[in-house]
Amino acid sequence: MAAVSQKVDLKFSNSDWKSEVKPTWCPGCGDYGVLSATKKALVKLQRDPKDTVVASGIGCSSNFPHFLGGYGIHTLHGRIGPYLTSIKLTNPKLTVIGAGGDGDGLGIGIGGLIHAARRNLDVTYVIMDNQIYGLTTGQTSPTSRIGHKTKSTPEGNIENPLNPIAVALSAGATFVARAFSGDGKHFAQIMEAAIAHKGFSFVDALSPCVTFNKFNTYDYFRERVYNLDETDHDKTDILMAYQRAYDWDHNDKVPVGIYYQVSKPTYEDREPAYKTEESIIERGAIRPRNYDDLIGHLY
Amino acid sequence: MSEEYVNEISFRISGRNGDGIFSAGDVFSKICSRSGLNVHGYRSYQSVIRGGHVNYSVRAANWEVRAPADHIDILISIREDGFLVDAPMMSKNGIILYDSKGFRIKQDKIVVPEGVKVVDMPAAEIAAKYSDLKIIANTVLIGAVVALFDLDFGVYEKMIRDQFSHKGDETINVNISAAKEGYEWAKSHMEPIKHNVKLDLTKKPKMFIGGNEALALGLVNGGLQFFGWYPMTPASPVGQYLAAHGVKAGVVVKQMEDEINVANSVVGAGFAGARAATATSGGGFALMTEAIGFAGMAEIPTVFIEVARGGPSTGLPTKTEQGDLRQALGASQGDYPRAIIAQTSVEDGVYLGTEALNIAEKYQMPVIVLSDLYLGEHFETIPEPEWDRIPIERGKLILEDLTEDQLPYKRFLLTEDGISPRTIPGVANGQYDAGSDEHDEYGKLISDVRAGYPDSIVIRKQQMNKRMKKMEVLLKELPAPVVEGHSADDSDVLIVGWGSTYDTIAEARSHMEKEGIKTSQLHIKYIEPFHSDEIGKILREFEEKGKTIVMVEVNYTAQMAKHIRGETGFNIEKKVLKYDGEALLASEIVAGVKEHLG
Repeated sequence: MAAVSQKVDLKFSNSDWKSEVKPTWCPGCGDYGVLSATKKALVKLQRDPKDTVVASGIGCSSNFPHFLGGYGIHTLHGRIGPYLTSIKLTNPKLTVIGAGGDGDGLGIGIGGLIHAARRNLDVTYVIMDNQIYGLTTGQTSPTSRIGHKTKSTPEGNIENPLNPIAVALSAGATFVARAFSGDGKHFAQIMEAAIAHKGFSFVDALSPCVTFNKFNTYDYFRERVYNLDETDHDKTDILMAYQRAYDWDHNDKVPVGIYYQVSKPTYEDREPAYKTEESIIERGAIRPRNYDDLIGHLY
Repeated sequence: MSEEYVNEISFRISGRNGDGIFSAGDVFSKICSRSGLNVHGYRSYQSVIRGGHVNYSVRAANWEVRAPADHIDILISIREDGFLVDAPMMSKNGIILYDSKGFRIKQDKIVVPEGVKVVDMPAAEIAAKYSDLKIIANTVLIGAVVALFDLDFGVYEKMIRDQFSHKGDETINVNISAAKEGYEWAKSHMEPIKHNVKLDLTKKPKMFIGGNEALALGLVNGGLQFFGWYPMTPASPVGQYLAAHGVKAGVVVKQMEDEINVANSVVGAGFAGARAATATSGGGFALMTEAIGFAGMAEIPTVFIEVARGGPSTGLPTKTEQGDLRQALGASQGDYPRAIIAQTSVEDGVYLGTEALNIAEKYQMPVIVLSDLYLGEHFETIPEPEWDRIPIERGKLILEDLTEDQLPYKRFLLTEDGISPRTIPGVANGQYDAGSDEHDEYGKLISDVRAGYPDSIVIRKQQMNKRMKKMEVLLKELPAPVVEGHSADDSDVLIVGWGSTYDTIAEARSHMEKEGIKTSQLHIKYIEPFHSDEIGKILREFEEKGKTIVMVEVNYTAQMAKHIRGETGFNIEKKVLKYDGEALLASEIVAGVKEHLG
């Protein structure tokens, strides 16, 4: 009964998040799972599409905003970080989500990711991590595993893969999680927790590329993932989170779930311009209220 | 001392970084402006925190001084390098003040230019009577200069009170006593400089502001909401001014991690509906260019200020050049609409800041504002700004929720003027995706699965035409340049310049006019879109009438002359070019133009 009445009361449903543009991803692409989990989470949290912005970079996964209702900005390669920063700072009332790939966020865009994370803006950044450059038809990525043969590493990758969870933890993200797009139900829960979290939420989405990555397949992950909720993991303990972050590298096991979550003041809460007002967009572009603040020292 | 009277005050203080040179220069500048004078202040410095040789030049007069002086009447040389660097610019009857004991200046380093009086003043010894702080010697020396220009000591005293008001009475009293003794020492030991500058202590002093700060002030007055930046000489004062003063006016000022992300943060803020801007120099601008192209493609209002320094590469970080015009013209890939405007004076900044934001929003495009170190980092007294001269104009911005009859909403709707009504996040039913890819009227990509289909080929052309149409419409709104001074019939020479050199060329013209040379000036401010027809017509008219045409630029390759040639087909052959890093002087223009006149 309760569930039914809840459904009736929903102001925003799945259809509000539908886009006229059909996803262009390959059949079986892990990104479908991320899109569907994101929609579910937004409906569950009753976010309004008009107040939601998804910022993406360049790559297969960065086409994401076109496939979701709401506002979107499909930017440049590796630049999600600064868009999350300025859009949230310009209008803190918006729900702001970053969506891009591992090459975009951890290769060319890693600086932006780290600095966006350390600000602890109240935004969510999901990296659709397929350990390969898909749109350019299969070169090594920052998260490709050692030995992975790709078009740019025909003899196998010899570079150590970056650890996205450890990067996010050390950058200061206050919510760090990993989810597998082969488990839609769990992914939706993680996305919901990520968007609901007040602070910088980082989600490493294990999102297999069925066309160009024959190494990190759905089966590869199914054999290795385990849910942190089914362990004694303490998500407020950053050292424990680091330990779990290295499970893949050390033990060939891939934990999914929330590695780390703590509550800290957000950047926008501390932004001096917001001491006296809530949104510079709602205030509008106006003349200065007090010229003496601006020119008093110039005489 | 000669009986000749000078009709302006020309003062310089020099020393090492850390000697308080800029502070002393600023104080003396304000003493002059508070004495009812027009003031021009220019600082020269190096890219070190301690040491190096720095100076601050102050020129003040009853007339509007808008160019650096080419001579010095009084020089305070704190360190011996002043005798090497600054002394050659001394006027014949000038005075150099120094303190051999206080600052250990060796006698063999003291070079005395002909006719110049060199005075060894025990400034540090006087200062030591009042304070342990050696920097108080500057207070003593400025006291002496106030006496030597016969300025009013009360003005200096008031200046000290204002300057140290936050530090308390003891600091104020120490400084006033030291200043007074410096003043008395000069009165009893030396003859003042003879000048006919009239002081007026009753007038409200004019605002004394730098070119960078003026631009920043213009942005705030134009409703600036977001400013992203990354420190880079010589553009940093824009960001620092906004961090200190803009925040109080509700501007979100964010120092980002690098210039790539600065530029993208500005584009993001513009997308979200903020009047957004940044300021950088050449190297930072190079990193920003991809984002500028994105703003052009996604039609996002943004303002990018480029305060050029000497290039190439790291170049001369603390020296000036108009060397980045071609970089601005070539910024980002493909053809996209954008405005490029050069700031022409300190005062211009107060209005250009607002105008740039207006153009960005009305035409939904990036606006590049070009300045340079000389313009950005020198200070002038300017007339009280007319705050409402330029209204805040936001163009076809939709802030109300869209109603049924306005749907479906097409963000990139084809229109007569190329400008489409623009929603921002928060506006219901106005959702769209701003893409860096080519897109249709809705914002849907045509670049991926639809690329090459007949409909996409049509859409591509339509969207290109729509975006570029804005350049034509904007050109009609911008004022075309006009010839100042003598008409083509009645002129000996047409001097063509752009941006920061406006006032210096004007001063050079006034010198030439006094010598009987009839001059005309064509000055370019709007670079893209370009008034090709009007400018070409002016140049051809002067050429047809057999007049000399001289291009004046502060770069090696005459970048504007090349742009003019490309846009009009007219080749300006005669040039006065300067690329040594130092500020262009009126006397150099005069000499260069005269050479061409033969």
